[in-house]
Amino acid sequence: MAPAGDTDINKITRRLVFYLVVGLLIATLPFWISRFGLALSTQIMYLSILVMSFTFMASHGGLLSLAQVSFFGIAGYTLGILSVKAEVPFPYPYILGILMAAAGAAILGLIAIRVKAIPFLMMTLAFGEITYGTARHWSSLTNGDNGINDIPDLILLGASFSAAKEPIRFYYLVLVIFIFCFWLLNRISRSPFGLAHQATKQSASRLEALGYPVFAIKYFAFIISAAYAGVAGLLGSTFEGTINPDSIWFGTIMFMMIAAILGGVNSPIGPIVGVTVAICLERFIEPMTEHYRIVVGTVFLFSILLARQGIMGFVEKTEVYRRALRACGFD
Amino acid sequence: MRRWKMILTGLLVAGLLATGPFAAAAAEEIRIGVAGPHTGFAAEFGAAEYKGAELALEELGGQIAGRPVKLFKSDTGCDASQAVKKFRDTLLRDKVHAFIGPVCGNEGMAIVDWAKDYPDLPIIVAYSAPEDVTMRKRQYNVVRPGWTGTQTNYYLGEYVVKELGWKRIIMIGQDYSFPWGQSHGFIRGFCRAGGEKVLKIYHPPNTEDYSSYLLKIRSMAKDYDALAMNTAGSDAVALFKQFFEFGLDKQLKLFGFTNALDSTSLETLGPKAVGLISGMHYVEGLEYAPKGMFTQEVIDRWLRFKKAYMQKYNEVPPCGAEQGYVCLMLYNKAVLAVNGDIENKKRELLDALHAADMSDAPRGPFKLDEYGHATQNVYIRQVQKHEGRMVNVPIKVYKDVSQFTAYEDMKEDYMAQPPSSRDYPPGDCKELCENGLGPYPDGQCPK
Repeated sequence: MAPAGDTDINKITRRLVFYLVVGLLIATLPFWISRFGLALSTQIMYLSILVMSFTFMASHGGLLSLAQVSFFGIAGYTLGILSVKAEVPFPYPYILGILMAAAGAAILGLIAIRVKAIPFLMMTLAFGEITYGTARHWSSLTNGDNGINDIPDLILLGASFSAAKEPIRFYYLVLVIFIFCFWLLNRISRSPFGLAHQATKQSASRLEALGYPVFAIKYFAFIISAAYAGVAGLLGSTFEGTINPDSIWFGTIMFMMIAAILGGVNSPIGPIVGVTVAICLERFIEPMTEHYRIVVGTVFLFSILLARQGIMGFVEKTEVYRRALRACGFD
Repeated sequence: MRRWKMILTGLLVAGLLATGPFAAAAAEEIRIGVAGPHTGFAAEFGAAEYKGAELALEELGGQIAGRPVKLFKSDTGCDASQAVKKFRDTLLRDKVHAFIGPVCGNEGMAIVDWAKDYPDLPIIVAYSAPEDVTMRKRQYNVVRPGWTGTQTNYYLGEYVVKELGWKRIIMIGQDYSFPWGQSHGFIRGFCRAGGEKVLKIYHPPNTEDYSSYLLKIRSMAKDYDALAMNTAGSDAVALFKQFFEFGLDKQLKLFGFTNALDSTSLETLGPKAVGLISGMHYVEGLEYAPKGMFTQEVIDRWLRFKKAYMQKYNEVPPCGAEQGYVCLMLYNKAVLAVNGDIENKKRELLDALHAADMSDAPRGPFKLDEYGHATQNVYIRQVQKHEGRMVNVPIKVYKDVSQFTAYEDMKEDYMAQPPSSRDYPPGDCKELCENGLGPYPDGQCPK
C-alpha cells in the first residue's frame, strides 16, 4: 500500500532516514554487541569483500573464478613475508599485497580469460592448486605448513589497530574500507565499463562486432576483482594474525561459494547477506552439535531448492521486500 | 504505521539474536576449552586428547577447588587458521578460563603467537610438538606438558648408531612440520654419535601408494642399513605393508619414529611389527619393562591410569589421551595452589602452572623447565606381544631429558640455529658439521 502522492522530496527524506538508521546501527554496533559479535561482524565485512570479488566476476562476466581465494592468499602471504620475514615497514607490505594479487590475476588472466564456463573454473582451480602447493612446499619462503604467524598489528597515525586488543578500532577501520569497497564496486558496475562488462556475459560476439575490446574488458575486470580479493586477504590476515596454506584452499573456496550462492549472485547486497548467514549458521550451530556440518549442508540444500537465485533473489520477489523498499524511498 | 512497527520489531529481533546467546554463565563455574582436531586425518589425536581430559575430570569428581568444571570441545581440524578462529570463538563466546590444546604442529605454532594478545590466559598445549612453541617463540602463559620431535628422537638417533651400528639410514616421512621436527632431532643425535648419512624422502600426507618411493629405495638399498618410518596413521600402515610386499625386509632393517608405531595402529600392522623399535616419551606397555628399570610406584601409577582408561573407553590409552589427562591434572594443581581464585590471581596461577609437581604423571615423572616444557623420560621402545596384545615396551630409558636434549648447557647457541624445516638440518652428517650448522655439545665435530 504505497501512499498516494509520493513526492520526490518525500522519497529523499525517507531514503535519508533509512540511511541514517542503518548507519547508526552499524556505527554504534561495538557499543551494544558482545566482543564475540564484534569479532564476527569484522569477519563478515572482510569476507564479504572476498565474496563480492567472486560475484562481480560471476554475475557480470558469467565467469566463476575460484582463484579469488588464491589472490586472497597471495596478498596475505605478501603481507606476511614482507612484514614478518623481511621486516619491511608499513605501508609497503599492504600496497605490494594488493599489487601482487592484481599481478597474479594479470598473469593468470592472459590464459584463463580466453576460455569460458567450466574450462575457466578448472583453470582457476588449477591456479589455486599452484598457489596452495607453493605455500605448502616452498618452506624456505612460506614456512610451509606452519604458515606465517605473528603478522604485526596495524599502527596508523600512532594509534594501534590491534584486532585483539583494540577490536573496536579495528572494526571501524574495516568498516570504512568495506563501505568504500562496496560503494566503489557499485560505481564500477554502473559505469560504462561495468555495463560493457555485463554485456560480455550476454553476448560477447555482438559486443565484439560493435567494436568493444571484449578481451581487454574481461581482463581488466578480472584484475579489479583480484585486487578486491587482495584487500580481503590483507584485512583477513591482519585480523587473524596468521596466514597458512590451509586458509587459502578448499575450506575457504567452499565458504566463498556457499556464501555467494546462499546470498544470491546477482544482488549487490547478496554477498553480505550470504556471508552473514553462512557465518552465523556455522558459529551458532557448532556449539550445539558436533554434526553442525550436516545442518549447514541441509540448509544450503534447501535454499538451493527453494531459491535458486539465493536468499536475495528470493526476497527480491516478495511483496514484503518491495513494500519495504518503497517505504524507505527506493523504487 | 504498520510498516514502522514491522521495521522496529525486525530491529528488536535482530538485536536479541545478536546478543542473546552470549549471556554470561555463572561466575562459579570454571570453563576450559579443549581444542583439537575432530575431523580430518588427525581426528583420532583430538578425540584421544578429549577423552583423556574427560577421564581426568571424572576422577576429580567434576570439580576443581570446589568449583564445577565444564569442558568446551572445539574442532580445529588440524588447520592453523581454523585453530586460531576456534580459539578466539571459544574465548569470546564461551568465556573460557583456560585452554587445553592444540594438537597439531601447525596449530601450536599459530596459537603461541595468538597467545601473545592474551597474556593472562593459560594455554596448556597437549600434543602439538614443534619445539619453538616453548623455545624461540615461548610465551609465559603457554606451557607444554607434552613433547617435541627433537626431544623424543635425539636419543633414538644415538641408539641406532651406538647399539645397533646402523650408520646409513633412509628416512621416509610426510611432508609437513611435524615429521620435519622429528627428523631434526634424529639427525642431530645420529650425527653426534658418529652416523654418516640420513637420506630424507618426503611425500605428501595421505599417500596410499608408495610403490614409486619404494622402487627408488630398493635401487639404493645396498648402500644403506635401515629405513626409518617417519609417518603416522593410515600412511604408516600402507608404507609398512608395502615395504614387505616389495621384499625390502631382506635388504633393510625397519624402525620408526614415535607415531609410526603408535598403539592405535599396532594391531593393524600385524605380527610382522613385533620387534620393531622406536623412540618416544610414552609407552603403553610400561608394566612389561625389564625388572629394575622403574620403581614399583611408577608402575602402579601407570597401571592405575591404564585400567581406569580401559574401563571407561575399552581401549589401550594412546599417547594423546595421557597428555589430555595430564594437562587437566596440571591445571587442577595450579588452580588448587591459588585456592580456586583464578579470576584475581592470574599471575600466581601462571607461576603455579610452571612450578607444579608432576612426579605422579602416568607416563613417568616430569617437571616443566624454565620455558614451560616438560623435562621427562624418553624411552627406546620395542613392539612386543603380551597377553595377546601388541604393545610398545621400553627397552632403554633416558631420564630427565629436556627439550634441549644434549644441548642443555648451550641453550642460546642452540636457539640461534635455524628451526627445523624441510631442508634443515641436512641429512649428510659431514655437511651438517662442515657448514657449522649444528652445534655439538662440546662445540666440536666428530672425527
